[in-house]
Amino acid sequence: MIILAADMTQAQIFAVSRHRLTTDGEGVTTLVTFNGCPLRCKYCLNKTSWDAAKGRLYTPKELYEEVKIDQLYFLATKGGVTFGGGEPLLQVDFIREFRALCGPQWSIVVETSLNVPEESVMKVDEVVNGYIVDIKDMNADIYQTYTGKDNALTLKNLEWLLQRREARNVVVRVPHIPNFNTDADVQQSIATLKSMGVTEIDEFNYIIR
Amino acid sequence: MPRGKQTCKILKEIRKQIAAENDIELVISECTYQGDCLGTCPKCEAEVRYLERELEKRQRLGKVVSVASVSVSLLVGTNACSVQSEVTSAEKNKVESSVILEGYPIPLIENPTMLNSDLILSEEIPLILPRKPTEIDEEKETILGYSVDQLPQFPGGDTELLNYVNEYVRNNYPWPAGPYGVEGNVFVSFTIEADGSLSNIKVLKGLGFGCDEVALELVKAMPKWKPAMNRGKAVIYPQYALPVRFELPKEGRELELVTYVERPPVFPDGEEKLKEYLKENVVYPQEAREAGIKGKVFVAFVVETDGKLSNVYVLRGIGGGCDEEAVRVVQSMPNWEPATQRGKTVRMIYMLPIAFSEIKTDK
Repeated sequence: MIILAADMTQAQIFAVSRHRLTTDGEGVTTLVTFNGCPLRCKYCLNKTSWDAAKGRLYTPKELYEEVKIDQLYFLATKGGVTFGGGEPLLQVDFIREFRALCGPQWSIVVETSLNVPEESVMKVDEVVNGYIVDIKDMNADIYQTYTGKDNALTLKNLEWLLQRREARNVVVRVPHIPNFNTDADVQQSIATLKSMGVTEIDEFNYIIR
Repeated sequence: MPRGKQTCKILKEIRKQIAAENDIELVISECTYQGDCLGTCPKCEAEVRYLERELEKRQRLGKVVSVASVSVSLLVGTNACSVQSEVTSAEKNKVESSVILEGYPIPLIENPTMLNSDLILSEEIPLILPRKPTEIDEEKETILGYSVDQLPQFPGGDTELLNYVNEYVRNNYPWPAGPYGVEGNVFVSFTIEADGSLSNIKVLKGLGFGCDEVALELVKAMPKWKPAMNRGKAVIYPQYALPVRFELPKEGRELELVTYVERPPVFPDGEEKLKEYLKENVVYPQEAREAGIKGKVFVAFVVETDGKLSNVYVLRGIGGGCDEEAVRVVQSMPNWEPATQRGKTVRMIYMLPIAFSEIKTDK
């Protein structure tokens, strides 16, 4: 049975970043980054998210009160809130409650690895407009070496998503990861993704400084 | 131009457009704020509040308020500072951008992929259920809300419920979920009436591949439940959500079916030949043409280790005879080159979109 109590859900958030333009979805967005991630990527951009002590606890209501200041921009540009982190799909109850607070007109996008239980993706899919998935690499060995985890769930969830919604709402980012994958690996990943039905593929480079 | 200033300029442009769209007078002055700009400042914020008040005024007066018309990508394009990016996109979907890994990601994307924000919220699913019990409607003897003294129960309790579900699934594993190796949960919702019978049975969140139908049948075939009780009376209990788990038996799986491989299956002589084959063999049905039905039919199938195609299934169809035509064409295909993983051929699912539309000829 699915029961949610309105003021019991809380989540640790380490940053709320306003006025992001087109990097995290369409329009003007506010990026909300959660703590906690099942992966341990070698070149993680947000290692802060691995530290449970950083940031502070929010209830969905507190977050809504904080971000609604930009509501006019969200409505004007079809933007809204992008949940990232860390892994936002470890907080699906929070996101569902947030949707109930902000209403249907805001766009909610999740930046996720999809390496979460299938039930999480199914539960959150009702309230999410779009997904941005950094797939790392489609090859299981490379993925395991780079992230420390296997990608079986990622692939299952991606297949499920492609079947349930328009492929235009699922952007898959395929990185060139120095020392972990080659150009050939990346092209192979892209070919496999295309055969799965992905149409929005963003091929890019990790640059290490 | 530093990033903060660029953001400020773009947001100012957005405010200008909102004002223009709705006949609001807005005095645009050059920003005189000195020092590090984060993209917004007290003056800019005050402008937003002013716009919100003016829009609300107009709404109250019954005027049409239009807000969702600003395209940010156009603004970013015209205001972009010169950056070092290697944008080589010739293909529509390929964009080269870079993410710098120490510090915050800096966008170098000039033509970002746009996400459409169509949202379909299923109205029957409550996102938040009230915690306190609500009023009892004495006339109808129902409870409006979801809080009861005693929850409804499957005969024999939760363990019996689990046995029933697992047994049913084991004896009726759906097609093509079985051959495709599809596993997962289907969430079914139903009402348990005051007399224990089930009604309003529907799929809350499905899995596809034939699983949804089997989950519905499973619930419809259930015996009566022990109804919910409140204050000593049997009452109706709406929207009970049951997860129906579909899991394949672990033993007896001779051929491992995989869904990601090093080398995917290929139509003989390659993708170009596949396109040609479809062009030559797909017949746009008269019925669809007349009804104005067009689009893509998504067909899935298994490419066996010998290259034969089996278990052809329509993932998403468009009707008008197109779905059947798509299946016919796939079944007529010659054997493919099977997928390989680490030098071995393996069975693999392939998903193929087949397009139906008018092709204008010069005849």
